[in-house]
Amino acid sequence: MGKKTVYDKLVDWFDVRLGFTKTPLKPIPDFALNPIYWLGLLMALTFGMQGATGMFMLLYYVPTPAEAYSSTTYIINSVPLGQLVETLHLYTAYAMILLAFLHLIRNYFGSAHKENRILMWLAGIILGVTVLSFGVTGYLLPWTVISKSATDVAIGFVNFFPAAIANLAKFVLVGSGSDIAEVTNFLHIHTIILPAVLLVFLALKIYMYEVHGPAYVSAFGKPKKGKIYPWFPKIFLYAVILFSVYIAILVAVSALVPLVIPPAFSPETAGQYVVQPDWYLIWVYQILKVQAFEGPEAVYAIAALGIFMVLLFLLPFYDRSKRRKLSQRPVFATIGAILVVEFVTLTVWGYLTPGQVIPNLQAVLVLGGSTVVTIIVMWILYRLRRKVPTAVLSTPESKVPATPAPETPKTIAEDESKPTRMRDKIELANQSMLSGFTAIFVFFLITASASLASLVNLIPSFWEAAPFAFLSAAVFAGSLYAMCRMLRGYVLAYEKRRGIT
Amino acid sequence: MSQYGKGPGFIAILLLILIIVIAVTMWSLDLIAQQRTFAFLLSAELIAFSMLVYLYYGETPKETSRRWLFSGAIALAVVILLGVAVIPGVTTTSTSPNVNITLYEGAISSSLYGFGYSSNNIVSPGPTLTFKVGDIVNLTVTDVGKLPHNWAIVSANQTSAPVEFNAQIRSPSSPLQHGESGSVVFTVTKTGNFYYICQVEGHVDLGMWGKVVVNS
Repeated sequence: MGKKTVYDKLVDWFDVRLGFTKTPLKPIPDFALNPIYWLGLLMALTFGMQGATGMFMLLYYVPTPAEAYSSTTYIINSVPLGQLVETLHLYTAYAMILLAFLHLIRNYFGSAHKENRILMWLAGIILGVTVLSFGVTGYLLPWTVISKSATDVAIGFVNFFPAAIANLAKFVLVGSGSDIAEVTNFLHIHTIILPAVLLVFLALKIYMYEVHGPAYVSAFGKPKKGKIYPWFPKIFLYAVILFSVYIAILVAVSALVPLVIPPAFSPETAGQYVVQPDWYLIWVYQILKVQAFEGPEAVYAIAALGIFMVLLFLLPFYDRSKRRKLSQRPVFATIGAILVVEFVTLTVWGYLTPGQVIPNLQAVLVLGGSTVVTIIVMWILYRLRRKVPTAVLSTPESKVPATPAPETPKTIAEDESKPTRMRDKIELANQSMLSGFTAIFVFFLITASASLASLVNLIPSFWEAAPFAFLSAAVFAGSLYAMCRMLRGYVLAYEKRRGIT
Repeated sequence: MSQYGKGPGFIAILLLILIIVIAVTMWSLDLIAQQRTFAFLLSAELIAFSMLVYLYYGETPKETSRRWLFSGAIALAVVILLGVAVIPGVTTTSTSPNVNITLYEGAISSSLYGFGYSSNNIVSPGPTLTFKVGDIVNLTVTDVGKLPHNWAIVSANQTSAPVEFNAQIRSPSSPLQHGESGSVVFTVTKTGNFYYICQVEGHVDLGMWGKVVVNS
């Protein structure tokens, strides 16, 4: 130790001034040395890349309807590295949105939204919406025939809202409503407002991460030796490797498939092209294309999407059981699986049927069919699992290594092997029923009301739309039955519990 | 062994080397025509960098997996090969033009502007350009007039018409100045009658246009 090498001196010099070997950055347990635990930080890195490439483009981009497109093609054709940077900006945006979806899915299925992480989930959903808004506002800026038309269609949906909301939303989005106001506003939202929002919530989220550390997700294997590494140098080196490989992949893909932009927007040619949003919003657009939501009826679809977003935002407030293992959360796992399957179905379907109106019956069959198939598959999976003894009904992991300590992985291992007593099992079954009760009940309530509404709607033309009407009736009856069963079970369980204690 | 274990010093030096190598790559390539090659080489440099960091990452030799190093080496080779393959002229990829055209643009009189194949034979309307679908055209335009001009293929004989085939040299906001020239490589993708114009406001009305005919 006595000899100090040149490297030591160099590191010392920085360490004295920055203190990075003794920084408060959280030590990381070994299970987190897995890219699946790094999705969030990769997104932060992606945001940095977006900032860098975006600023480069901002040097050349002219935000006027006449020159937005020509300045974009100028960047691609005539600026050194312009094509690469423009392509990289698009592909890193795609990567960021994809990472956002993966991050959401991982945290949903890994229960990283419970207990002390509630605020992290809320901040995460806000960040996710911000990232999607980045995509929407950035989509317009090149002023291509497809992006401009798609944006105008999207803004048109605002008109279906009550006048007060519609006017305010329009004022924020397009100002006076002229093309020049639209492109300028979108540029300012894209380059000033959204980055500001994102930075604030990103800082909050990183702070909360430093407080809580990585959320242990049991689905990705057991914790290893339970070792904990200081962030420097091991974790730092890991990040350096991960980041450089990630950037290398993005750059290579950008070079392999350079961006080809559609023709410029002009009112005369706009009619010849099919209006389509980018892939990450195809699912929304596909819902709006359903016959039932054509014209002013679109407001119902938009309201439903809004409610869905609010429900997603408030997830930690109704998914309150302390269990984190997927095998112990069949209901939420099934709901999550249905959402993922529907997202993929709608996206693929949207690409297969560009610009077509989807008949109601077809929509019900495709979406309902994929939902039913998912439920059946999940049910079979959980039935298969149940045969493994103590896999489902082991005691809940009350102590998950939120603040990782060397002994926590051991407790998990013990929990799994510990035989559970009959009384505990009953107690647990009651708990599980009560914790998920409200959510499931509300789900059936919404289904029942929606199907009843559609049934009443269909009464005048009952026989013309017979399959749809019968389906509504069946869904209504089914939900009603399920609600009755749930209430009965709830009362029984309640009485039983009072009898025990 | 250094007091801080393996790493920080090596990382600093590796990072320095990486920056120098990237700078040299940028210096030695034409960053408009060969930017795809640059991108592949940048990717290769990042992979090589991460492999070197990985060598210092493991605390024990066991932790440094040969499988990862092997995959890294393969990725490196693939990316470098791709980088060489996309250099124009190395392989017959779609980036090598088969039609070369040189145009001059400028004034005939103070109220009539036009295009021509040579600087002393400028006419209005300019000479008609004829292409086939699939042609890859390398077109160079030199501004021999006193005013700034640009050049673009558009769908109609108007300043506001949309650009076709991404065939555009500079823009009305930053046009070619007197004596300057610019070039563009574009692929002709559809048949029809188009126009090439100078997009600077008002110049079409002063005669700065010519026809583009694309046959199948």
